[in-house]
Amino acid sequence: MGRPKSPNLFSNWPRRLIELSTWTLLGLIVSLATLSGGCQRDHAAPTFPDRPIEIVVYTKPGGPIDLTVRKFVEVAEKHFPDVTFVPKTVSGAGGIVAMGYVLQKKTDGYTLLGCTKSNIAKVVSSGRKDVDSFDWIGMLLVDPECVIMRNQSPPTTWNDLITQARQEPGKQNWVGPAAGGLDHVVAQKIWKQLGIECVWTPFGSGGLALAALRRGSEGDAYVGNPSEVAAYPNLHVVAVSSPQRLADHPDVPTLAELGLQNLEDEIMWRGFAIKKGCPPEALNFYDKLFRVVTNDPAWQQYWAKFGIDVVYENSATFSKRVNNDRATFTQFQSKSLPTSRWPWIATVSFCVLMLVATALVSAWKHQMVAVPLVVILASVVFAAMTRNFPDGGAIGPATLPRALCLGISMLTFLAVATRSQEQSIAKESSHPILVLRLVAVLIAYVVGTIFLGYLLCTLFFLVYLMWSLGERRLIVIGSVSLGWLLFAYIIFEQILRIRLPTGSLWTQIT
Amino acid sequence: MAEILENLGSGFLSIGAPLPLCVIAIGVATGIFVGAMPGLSPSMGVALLVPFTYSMSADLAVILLTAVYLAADYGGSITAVMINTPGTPAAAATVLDGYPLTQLGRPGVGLGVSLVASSVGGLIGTVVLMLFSEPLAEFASRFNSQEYFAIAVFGLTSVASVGGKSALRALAMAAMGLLIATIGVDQIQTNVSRFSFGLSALDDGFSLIPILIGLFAISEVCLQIEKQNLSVVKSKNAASDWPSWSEYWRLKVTILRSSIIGTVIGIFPGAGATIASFVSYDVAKRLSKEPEKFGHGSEEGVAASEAANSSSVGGALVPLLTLGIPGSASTAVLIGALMIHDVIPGPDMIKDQSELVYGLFASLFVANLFLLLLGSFGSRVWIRVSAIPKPILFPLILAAAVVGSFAVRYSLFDVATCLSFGVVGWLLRSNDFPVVPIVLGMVLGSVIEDNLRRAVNATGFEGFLERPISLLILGLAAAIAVVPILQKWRHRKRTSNE
Repeated sequence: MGRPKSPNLFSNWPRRLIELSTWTLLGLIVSLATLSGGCQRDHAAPTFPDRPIEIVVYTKPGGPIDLTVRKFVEVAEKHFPDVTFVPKTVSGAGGIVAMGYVLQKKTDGYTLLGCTKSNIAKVVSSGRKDVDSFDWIGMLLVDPECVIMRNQSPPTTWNDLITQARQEPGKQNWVGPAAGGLDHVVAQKIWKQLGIECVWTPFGSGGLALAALRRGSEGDAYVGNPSEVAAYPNLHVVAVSSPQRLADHPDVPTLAELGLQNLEDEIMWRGFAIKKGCPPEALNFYDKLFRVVTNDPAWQQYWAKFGIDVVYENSATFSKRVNNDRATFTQFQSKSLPTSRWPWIATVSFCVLMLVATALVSAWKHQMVAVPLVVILASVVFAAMTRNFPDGGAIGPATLPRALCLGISMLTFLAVATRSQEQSIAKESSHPILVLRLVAVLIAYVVGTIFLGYLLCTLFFLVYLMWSLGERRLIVIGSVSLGWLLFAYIIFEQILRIRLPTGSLWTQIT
Repeated sequence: MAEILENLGSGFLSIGAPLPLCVIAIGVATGIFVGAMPGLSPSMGVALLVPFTYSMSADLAVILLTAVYLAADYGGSITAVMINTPGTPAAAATVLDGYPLTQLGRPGVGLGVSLVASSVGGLIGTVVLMLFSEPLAEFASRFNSQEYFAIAVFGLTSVASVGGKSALRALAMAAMGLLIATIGVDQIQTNVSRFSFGLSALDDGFSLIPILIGLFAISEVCLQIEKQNLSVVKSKNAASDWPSWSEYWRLKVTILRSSIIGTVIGIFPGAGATIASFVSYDVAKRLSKEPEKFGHGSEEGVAASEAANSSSVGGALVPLLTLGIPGSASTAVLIGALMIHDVIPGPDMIKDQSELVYGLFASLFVANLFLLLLGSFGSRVWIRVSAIPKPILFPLILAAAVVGSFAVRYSLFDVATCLSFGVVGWLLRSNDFPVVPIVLGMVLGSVIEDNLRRAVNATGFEGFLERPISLLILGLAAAIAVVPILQKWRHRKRTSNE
């Protein structure tokens, strides 16, 4: 067994590649053999679905749509034991990231999006057009919106709430999840009809907003769903948006009974969407699947416990509903807020001043300060990008970023200005060029992964890098590389069901 | 008290069968693996196991998932100590002294201290959870946005301890982290997309984990390659180089104090294990007799960070069991899993589901003991990582970094983020800019901004004056920040006068 030789990183690479071709060829054969099994299955299966269906969940694990999808999978697999459903969490930006993920997929019908009405609100509030890129193929659950209040500390009743809001315009806090969502829009509709002015205070989740309501000092009313009060004896529902009173809350009036019109269909729906253009056999399968799940007693009993109605709206009806929702959300979209110019000009000017001052100080001290200059330049760029951020009250979306840009530029300048020359002398001999070569290899690795997939590209990467760093024992290189590939495949692909990138080239060939 | 002990006894009886014990062991082993694998966070580990619990009873399901959660927080320290890569964000503070111990040829000390501190911290967190969950939850439920803002600002004061030689550079990097945390759609008020460069992947900002892997793992490989440092640092006798009993005993105060800090901070929803570990590290350094050792391989540093993040598990379960509110991402998954099993967490859960709750408490005690046992065995395997030649280790770290960052959101964008921050981390570290404050800033960023804006929007700036607790915490933070500067100034003045 030879010891690793001294590193001669990335030199004589053509000769090395020839020497290593045996290993890479072996790896290629192993990979092809592994993957060919799956390909044969793909071609042999005649009907949809012939492989696992991925259901994308846009909330973090434990969120409402995550629960819905997991329960759905449990019931669906009972009726379709030959079909595998794989829930996949792609959270972020209120569903925008998940929608983008689904739209990147092929129109083969194997990627479903678990969605709620909040997705439509998010798309509208962020100015996107993604609603048209989906077929909204089935709505399965509906939950009416409601107003929730405390039992004890006032205001405790609907009348108290409205009286207080009228007495102190702009002071009453209504709480709920993110601004621009369904709950916020329902609150805005109620305020508009009642002619009151209130403040919407958003929290990271419904649970945190409910906690704020219970505390009392941060919220007077919460807009959400009746099932959310089930675990809280000190909260109660004061109004619901359904056409009739709810069986679980027979004493609670509807908004119509309280004199508010056209709010009887304010529901939080949950359903599924698919990228537009999928084959008819896929759509037919999902129609059948949704009907079967909807009629399953276990599914119905499960949701009845939460007071959530099980319904099924097919693609045509559901699409109409989605378009109506979009129109409503567009109507209530936040108005364009004013943008002040002088704080922006002052911030950018100060950061530029710090940049110039740092350059001058470093020239005077004969110091090499490329990194501090880049740090300050970054703060200039970030400050400049706040130009169109709206003011948004005492502390708006631009306030903290601008303060931080000022802080970064000033602190970095001071760090350079107060540093003695002795400190800036290089302490150890270094070879940054080696790192730059490594970075080039890493970029090639990632780009290669896009085309060749993770497994194949990683094989090349590991073999090449080990050799380049001085490892000469071919048996070690081979066993470590193949061992890692096996580990990654079994752990990520098979056990954790994290589908590693397969590579666009490979996808096209197969 | 007698009722608690009686219920706990029943809890131990209910889990004292082969099946529950096996479930706990599997949960602990899975958790350690998940935590040690950069890219797999504790909440992901818990979520990945949820489907396996469908066929289990609610008791077994919650025992399994909690064991995973508990062990994953410890698992994150293994790679932090061995390869300078925190497996979880909460282990970022462990890197500060854990990896220097490995570089000094004492990886066993780092692993041993982190394991014992984690287990003891977990046990203390469980005791606090069991005895004081209701009053603590009542206390925490009085906290408003002002107090959450104050806690986060207090957490920021630890930058002085984790920042290295230059306070100015550390502060600049913390501000950079806070600025990075503002990237994405403004959820509080306007829905404006900030600094996203038109990329939908940035609408929710950067994921923390790819940045963590880049800043620590990739930058470390780059630094070593830059210095052509490819030799193996061998401990004199790696197999027997574990802390002695007296070394563990010396850390008792640090572990106890950090466990209490971790449990208390863990109680506040959204604060979590990461803030707890940074604050504990800071407090440990300030109160240590050997503060100069921190950052260079201090056992106290490792113990403080690990005891805090493990005990925060008990803290995070307080709002879940008493209020039905998730105290962390992992407990959010736990709530979902409980609801699948028809258990609705809320104020009446301890009363109505006492069998399940006390079974959970008992399982946490057992899980911490299993953690000690399995962790001890696993550490003897992990320690061999330090003997792997770097020409083999570095490529494997890079391949793991790529797959780990991809696994977070199944996105090659996250892989590109990881590599980019790896290069940024290398440039910063090679120019004496510390990278840990960036992580601190990123963790605290949204807590600071969201709560400040929420508080000011709801009650104006004067709202802070009406909240004595928030004023007290902010005053304490100001004192912690200003007193060392004044002391330094006085010291300089005195020296110049002499």
